[in-house]
Amino acid sequence: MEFSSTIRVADLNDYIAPSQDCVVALNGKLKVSETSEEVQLQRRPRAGGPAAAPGTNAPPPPGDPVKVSLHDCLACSGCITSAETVLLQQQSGGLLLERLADPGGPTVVVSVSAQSRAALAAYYGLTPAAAMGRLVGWLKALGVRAVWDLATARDLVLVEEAAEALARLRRAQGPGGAQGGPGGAPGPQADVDMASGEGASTSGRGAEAAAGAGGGGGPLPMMASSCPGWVCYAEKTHGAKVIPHMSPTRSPQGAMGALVKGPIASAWGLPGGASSLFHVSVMPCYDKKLEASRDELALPGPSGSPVPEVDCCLTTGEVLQLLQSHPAPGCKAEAGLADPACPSAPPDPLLPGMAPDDRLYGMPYGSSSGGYADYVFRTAARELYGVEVPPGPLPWRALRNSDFQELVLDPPSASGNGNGFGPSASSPSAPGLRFARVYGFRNIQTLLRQVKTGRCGYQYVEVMACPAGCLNGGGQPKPGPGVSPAQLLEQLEAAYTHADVAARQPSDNPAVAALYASCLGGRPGSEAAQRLLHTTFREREKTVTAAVVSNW
Amino acid sequence: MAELINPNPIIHERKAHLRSKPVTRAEVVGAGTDEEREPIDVLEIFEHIRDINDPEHPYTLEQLNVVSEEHIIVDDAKGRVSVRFTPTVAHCSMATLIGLCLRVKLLRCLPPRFKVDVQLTAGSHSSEAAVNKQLADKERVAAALENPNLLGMVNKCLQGPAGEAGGALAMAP
Amino acid sequence: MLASCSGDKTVRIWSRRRGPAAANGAPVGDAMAASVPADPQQHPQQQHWYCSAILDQCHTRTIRSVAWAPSGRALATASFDATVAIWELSGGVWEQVAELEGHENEVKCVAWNPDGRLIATCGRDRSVWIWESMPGREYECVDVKQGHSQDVKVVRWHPGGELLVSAGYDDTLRLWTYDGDEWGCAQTLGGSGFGPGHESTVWDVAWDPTGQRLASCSDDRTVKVWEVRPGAGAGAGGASGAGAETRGGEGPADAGGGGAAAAGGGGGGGERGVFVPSKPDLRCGATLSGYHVRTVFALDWGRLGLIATGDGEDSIQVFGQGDPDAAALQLRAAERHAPHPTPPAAPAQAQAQAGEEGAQAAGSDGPGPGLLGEQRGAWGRWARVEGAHESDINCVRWSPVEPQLLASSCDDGAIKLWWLAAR
Repeated sequence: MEFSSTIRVADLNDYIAPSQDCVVALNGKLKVSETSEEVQLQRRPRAGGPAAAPGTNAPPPPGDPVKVSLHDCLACSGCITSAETVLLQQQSGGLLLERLADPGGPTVVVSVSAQSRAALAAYYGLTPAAAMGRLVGWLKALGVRAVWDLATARDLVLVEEAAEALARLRRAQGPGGAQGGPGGAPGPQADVDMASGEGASTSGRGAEAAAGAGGGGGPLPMMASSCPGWVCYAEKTHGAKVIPHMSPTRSPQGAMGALVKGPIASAWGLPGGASSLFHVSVMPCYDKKLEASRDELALPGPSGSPVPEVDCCLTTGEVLQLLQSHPAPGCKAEAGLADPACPSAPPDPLLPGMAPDDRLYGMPYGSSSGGYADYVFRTAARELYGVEVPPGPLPWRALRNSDFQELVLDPPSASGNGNGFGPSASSPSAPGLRFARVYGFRNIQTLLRQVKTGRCGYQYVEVMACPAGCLNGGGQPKPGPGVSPAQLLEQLEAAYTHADVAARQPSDNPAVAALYASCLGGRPGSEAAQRLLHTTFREREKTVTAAVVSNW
Repeated sequence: MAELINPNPIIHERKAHLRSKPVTRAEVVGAGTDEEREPIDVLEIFEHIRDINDPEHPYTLEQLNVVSEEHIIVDDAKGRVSVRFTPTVAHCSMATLIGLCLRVKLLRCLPPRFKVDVQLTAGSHSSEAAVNKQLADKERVAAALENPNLLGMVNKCLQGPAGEAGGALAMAP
Repeated sequence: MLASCSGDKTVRIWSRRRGPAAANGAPVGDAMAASVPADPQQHPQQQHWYCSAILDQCHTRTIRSVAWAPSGRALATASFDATVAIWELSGGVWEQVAELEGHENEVKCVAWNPDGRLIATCGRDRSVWIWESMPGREYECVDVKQGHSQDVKVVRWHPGGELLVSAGYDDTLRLWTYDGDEWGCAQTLGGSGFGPGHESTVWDVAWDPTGQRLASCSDDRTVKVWEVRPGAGAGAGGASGAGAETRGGEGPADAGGGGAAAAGGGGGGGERGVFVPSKPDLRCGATLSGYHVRTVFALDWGRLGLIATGDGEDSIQVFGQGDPDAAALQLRAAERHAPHPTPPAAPAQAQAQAGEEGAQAAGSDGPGPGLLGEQRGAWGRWARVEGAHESDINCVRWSPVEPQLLASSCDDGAIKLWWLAAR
């Protein structure tokens, strides 16, 4: 994708930093102390006497590093970070290898994000298709049963997102609103149905402050919620003021988890159902690990303990480490995927019976963080104003800095200006479209100020915690010697928009239609779609932890 | 806290001091005038802090030997007090809280002309410098005391063994 | 005007009445003259200050810092309640027009940049925030800088350019510059791995009137003066070499009994380098040690070119360079010939001072040479008031309007005004 030529990618380190209060109380098992920006885990020291007083927990055996559980991390919610500094023993390459080595255990399946694929391609100097093929080959050689590209899950999510956004926009425009220009009939895309709010059956798992229950009920601006760093920050720091704005749609990882442990598990018919599959995702950042541990993204289990829909999230960097420690047979460790002897195979179709397709698809002109704003914009322009935006990059305009961009569509005037970018004819019932892409902490602050003071003029905002978006995630491989972060980012963008990746709108994905027909209730916002593709958020309170007592 | 840092502390006896002259409220209130006031001495400071409760155990700081007279220095003429305390365990995470309690008690009990330094006894804690620095930073102390949770914990420690309000010798600054 | 902020969660605005002194020459209100005027009716030292406004009902915790906008018609207040409030004067009444949220916990300092467009804040969450004031009383977050490893105590803008200094509990000072897209740390002074600097928390910083040098004070009981290496910067020839060595660059001074010579002084033999704000390259040029027995909490560098400090031993001290007698002569001459300073018609610079836990803010009118001319030579203590207050002094600020006037504030809530007289 191309950024405007005036945009400079500067320091790329405007991450949401580890919170002051990151201490996991963990029932006295563990003490975490902060030094500078590192969060280190310390073994809690023994207190002198050899015999533990009755009632205390037995200390961990010596030599066993004490672990922070992700679940505790989210519960504490003191930590919002794009940081490789949080050691998450629970989800690691080691765990994947354990599962693979366990013959009686669940079947391992892997989903790969487009940003991780692009990073691996850039790292090994391969085209994206070659990188994906070899990644699949290598994983299968390790014993993974299926490897999926996340494009379809992303497409589903975008369709849901657009439907929700349209519903909110329509509601905001009032009953007299809708199409303001010539050719006002809705476009031919029959699958984009207006979510009429069939029931309030959201995920039904402790839903509180459900964003837009019933479709279209949420306030504007609507904010994308696929970035877990942003979600954690919003839940913890701004709570009820911001949660209603957040899109109820799951992220691609969340949607894929639901599909894997739902329809795909049933289609495979393994005994044990959802828990017979061990679902691994490959993601560009560490915050996705936190997302994978959310209560809202877990299924009630047979024996009471919930079954996570994503069992293990690995960062691109961790996959690189695995590639080096466990190269494919006949391959050299340093060469990794670039080794010509590396086996290759196409990614699997989502459901048995779907036609395999070894082409990669995506939206090269959308943002490299999923293309939310672009897709919603195009859909809204068409459905609300009859404007068919031509394919190609949209003319995003950078405001304060390269990570705060806006895009405006003025409704076409009555004189029928064809492309919709002509003189303004906006009115309260046809206000036009004003969308924004807001990346990075400082810009999130500005956005939140606008929202809180009621001065936010945008209707939809794609919010990402990492400056320059997901390609710049904290879990991506670091630039090599002599390569600046900006140069690496250019390489990643080139890989992301490579010709290998065919441009295809989500609604044109045959798998999308097939899935809606077979297990998603036929249309966006249906009850089944809500259950599998939507989620909820809740305010997190800061707990009084040991840090407050010792580090005031 | 579900688990105590030091499950087996050593308990000391409370020394039954008898002052030559009991400290009465009238004496302390008259601190501004130089005529009849008794200079504040080590014993008086110790009286203020000996009965502060440990945050974790139902014992006082004296009983746990966290504070003792030998580690108090007073210069009444200049208005300087230095208290060093020894946590029961070298890694005690309650050290800063105990230090905070000491500072607060003395802040409430002494005339404002006194400057109080509270530090760890040398070698008694693994993060000695960090704890001392934190306790010496009056801005952080002031901010901490505006935190209701923390203030509540401090007040609880200052309640005294018999539940009497800490600061029987407190006076208006 | 003077503004003060306090642990009592209010800000007070102090204004001055011009007029004849009371018959017995006693000062009115909180002001105190450091020396007795010969003719109370005419001497500008007489100050009649009164509290003209109280700003309250805003913050829910201690207000730690207050800063005037250069226009003198707006104020920013920083509070332990993690917010910053912006106040504007309209129709003679102060009202709160905006609230800046974002810091995770206590905000320790706020500073308005010289052109009034940017506001910097810092706090216990170790971050430094830069905000831009937009039309319609809007404020946008320009950047959030991590970098300090601990609590940031103070932020202060360079008088001339877009350069920000922050300093705090991690014993370092950081200089931040703007590259067109975001702010970055251009230099770190002190701290492990960055060369010698303060050995404990840095509490306050101030630029000299020319904007060429930086002073800082610390819990390590010293004051440091930071300047460009001799011979560095534009225009200075190869004058470094032996002459500069006497400056020592960075050593702590020997502490003699009762007072200490600072290590070298500005420009011993070589030319002082020129400071370029966009590319800061400062070194510790002098350390004033042995003068303070407790933490130095406050510091300000006034238009006279003198540094004033306030410390935890309740004393105020004034430091200057070179020969104090020569400077005194200059000052007396200036006093005789200058008209009595009147408050400018435009409500201009103001000092803010604080009661308990408070801070002072002084407006600045841009860089210019100190009124006593370019200072050279060894640093020395030129004035001291022991027991200036009953308790710790939290803030000292020189008046931008009357260069000999100094305000100080104390933990007990008192504010005092001092006149530096030439004997």
